[in-house]
Amino acid sequence: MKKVVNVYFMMITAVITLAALLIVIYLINTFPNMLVEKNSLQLIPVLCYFFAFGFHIISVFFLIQSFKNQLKYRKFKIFVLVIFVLSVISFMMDKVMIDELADDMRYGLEYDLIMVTIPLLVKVFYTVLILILIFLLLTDKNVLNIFEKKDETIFTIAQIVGLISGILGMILVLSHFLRSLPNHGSWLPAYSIFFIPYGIIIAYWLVIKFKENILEWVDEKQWKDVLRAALTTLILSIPGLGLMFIFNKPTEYYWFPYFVFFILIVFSGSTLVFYKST
Amino acid sequence: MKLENTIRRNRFDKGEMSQQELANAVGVTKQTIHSIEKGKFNPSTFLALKLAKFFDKTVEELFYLSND
Repeated sequence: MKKVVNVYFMMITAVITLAALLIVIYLINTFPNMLVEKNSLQLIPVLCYFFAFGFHIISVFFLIQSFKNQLKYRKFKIFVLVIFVLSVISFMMDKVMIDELADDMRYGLEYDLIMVTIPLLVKVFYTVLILILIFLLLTDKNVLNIFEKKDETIFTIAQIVGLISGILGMILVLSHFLRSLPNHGSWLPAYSIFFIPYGIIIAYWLVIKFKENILEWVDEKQWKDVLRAALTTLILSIPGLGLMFIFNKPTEYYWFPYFVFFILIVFSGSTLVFYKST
Repeated sequence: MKLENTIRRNRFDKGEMSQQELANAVGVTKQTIHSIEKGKFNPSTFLALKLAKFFDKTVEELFYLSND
C-alpha cells in the first residue's frame, strides 16, 4: 500500500512540475528581461523553478526505490538507468545555468536566453520520462514483485551506467575533436560530469559492501568476468588510442578524455557481455 | 571432456527451488547458478562443496565429467 501511495504522490507532483516548468519557459521567453529587472512577475518563475528542483530531488529517491524494488522486466531497469543518468546531467546543467546567470548579472550583461531555456527543456524531458515510468509502474501487475538478489543488480547497473556514461562522454569529446574546437583544458571539467552517474553507483555499491570482507564483494564468477574484462580493456586500449591519430588532427588535450571514456566503454561493455553470456 | 552437473534437477527435487533462492543459500549471484547449470561456468572447489552440502549430496553426485 505504501508504494502505491508513493507512486500516486510522484504522479501528482510530476504533473504539477511539468506545468510549472512550462510556465517558466513561457514567461522567460515572453518577458526576457524578467530575470534581470525587478519585476512583480519575478517571483513566479523563481517559485516554479524551486518546486521543479524539489521534485527533481525527490524523484532521485524514487528512482533509487525503483532499483531496490527489483523491477521484474529488463526494459524497466534500462529505462530507469537512462532517467537516472539524465537526472544527473540535468543537475549539472542547472549549476552551469545559475553560474552563467550570476556572472551576467554581476557584470551587467544581457543573459543568453538559450542558456536558461535548454536546462529547463531538459528538466521538462526528464519529468516526462518520470511520468512515463510512473504510468508503466501503475499498469504492470507484476512490477512490484520484490525478490532478493545478492548484489547482482547493482553490479549490472554499474556496468550499464558506465557504458551509457562512456558513450555520452565519447560523443561529446569526438564532436569537439572532429570540429577542431580550440581546447585549452577548459572543457575537461565538463567531460568529468559524465563520470558522476558511474561514480554515484560505485559509491552506493561501496557503501553497502563496506562492512563485508573484500573477497566477498563479488562472487567468483563476477571476479572472473571482471578480470577478463580488464585484460580485454588492456589489449584494446592501445589500438583504441591509436585510432585518434588516424584523423590527422592536433589532439591537444582531447586524447585524455577520449582515452578515459574509451576505457570506460570497453571495460563496462565487456564486463556486461562476459557476465551475461557465460 | 566436459563438466556436467545435476544442479537443476536437484533444485527442482528440493521443492522446485528457484535459481535465486539457491544463489542466496550458497552466497553467489543468480547469474552464477544459471551459468553453472548451463555448463558455461565451472565452479570453484569451495562453491562445489557448498552446493553439495546444501543438497546433502557428494560433489561427485552433483558434478561429473562427460566425453564431448
